Amino acid sequence: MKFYMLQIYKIIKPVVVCICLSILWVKISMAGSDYRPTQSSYTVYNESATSTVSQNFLGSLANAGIIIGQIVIVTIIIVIMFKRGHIKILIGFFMVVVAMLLGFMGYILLLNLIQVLRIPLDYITMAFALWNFAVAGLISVFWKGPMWLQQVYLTVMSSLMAFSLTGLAEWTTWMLLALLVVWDLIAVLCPFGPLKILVESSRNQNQEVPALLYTVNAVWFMASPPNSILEREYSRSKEGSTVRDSVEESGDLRRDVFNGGHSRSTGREGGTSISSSRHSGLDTPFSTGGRMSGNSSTVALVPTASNQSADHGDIELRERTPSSSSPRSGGSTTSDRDRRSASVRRAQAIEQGSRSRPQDGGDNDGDGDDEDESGGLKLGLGDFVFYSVLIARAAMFDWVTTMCCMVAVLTGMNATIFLLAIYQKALPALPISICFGMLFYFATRFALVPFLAALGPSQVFI
Amino acid sequence: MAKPIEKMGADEILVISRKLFYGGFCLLPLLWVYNILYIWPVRNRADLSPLVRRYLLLSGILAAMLFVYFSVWYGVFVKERLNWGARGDLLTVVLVKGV
Repeated sequence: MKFYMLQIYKIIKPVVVCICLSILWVKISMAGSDYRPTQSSYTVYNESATSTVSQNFLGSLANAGIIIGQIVIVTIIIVIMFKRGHIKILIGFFMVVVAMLLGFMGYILLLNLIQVLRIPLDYITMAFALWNFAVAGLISVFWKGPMWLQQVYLTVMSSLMAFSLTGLAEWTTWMLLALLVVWDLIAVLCPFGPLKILVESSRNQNQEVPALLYTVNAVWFMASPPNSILEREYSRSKEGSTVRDSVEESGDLRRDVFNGGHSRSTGREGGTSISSSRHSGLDTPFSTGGRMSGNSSTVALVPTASNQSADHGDIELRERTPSSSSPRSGGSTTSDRDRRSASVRRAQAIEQGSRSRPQDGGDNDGDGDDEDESGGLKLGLGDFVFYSVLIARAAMFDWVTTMCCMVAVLTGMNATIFLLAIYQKALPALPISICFGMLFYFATRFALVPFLAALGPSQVFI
Repeated sequence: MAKPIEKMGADEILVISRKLFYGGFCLLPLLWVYNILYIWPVRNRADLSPLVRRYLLLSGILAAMLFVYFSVWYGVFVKERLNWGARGDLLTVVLVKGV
């Protein structure tokens, strides 16, 4: 449990940063900017102040249904592509998406910032800065780069994605979040859920594909759980267990696709590996952006770090894991990309005794050696994005609500990690957090805020 | 994310450093900064080729030059844009309200 505590801290840090960035973007852009993200052109229903509740409900259900449908389709396509081994296509796609996300969303956000903050800026400098920003992001995410930089980029991308989603109407946002929870559960927990299939196929092929694609927001190394000690034989196998969530978002359309997959598989050797991946595609608010977007986020918890050194000695593994985990623990959070994709597969590792490669970062392909692998909690970018979306929506209302939702979401995340520690299998990260967040949002909005408003003038302190 | 830089061989580091250095000439000074940040932790490693240090040094110098250049350009722009009239407005991304 101590290891989990450490992991939780490391995972919460980027989440909080991402959420705070999203709140900042929303607050700034609400201060009178003309460039707020707009509704997607795929929305079939526009809320108006005069429409009734039932109209709003059905209309937003239709909007969210369209988005979810797109997400589901994109997820399935990705799964099929992956399964067939067209990994290079997927990576190319994700690269385009990431570049588009960083470029276009960065542009939109920049327009907001410079207008609200009244910064005079010329096009030459801005284009130059955006070009550099986007290319450096691409390199750090898909090629090589310091872990912390990758993590920074992934966090920023998540917040950009969340910012783009704030253009959705209020009812649609809530409906979308609710449907995503359902989809997440289905994709991760059902035997034939797409995410589960993705994780398993990646494991079977021993590819880290998702990792390449991926955008793993954060990888933390986790120390091996104490249990592992008890089971030596399984220790290796457990190393493999990971949970991933990857979320891919595809943007143009504003789709949000969120898939969460869990897969729990038993390694041939008796090890169990769990991974959950979520893909969620989000559409960017802009239609202009075109399609781009994929976020994938993955969260994986790997209870035990997997190291594979050439030898597979089981016993040694234990000892290694703690040591190996520590050095890295700091570094590996990374996540990227917003939009598109990220497939996440980090965890895989060890199933087959042959090689487990865990990747921390992502792209390692080829190396046989995998010390890198280490177990860690992995949180999908999609999770980052949707947490941030929920809180950004709350931030558009009120500060009290925002803080309540933040606490609720983080609580939900901790609860998920706790369950993960208990079940040792991949779990969808969204359901508990989003349910808590929505519950707290409405409770705060309709009960707490009026209450505080009444208390404030009378100077009553509780 | 590949494996951490500390575990890479000297050859690999050299290749990375060279690619980032030349990539920086595509109007990408950030890659030079990136290069420095990336290689910095291992810059004093014994087995590292001296070329790596040279790339890093050149990257730093070039990045600093471009930074100065853009700083100067931006200062000129902010100061003079109102005097440039329509041309200045054309260059401005968002017209600042008030002034």
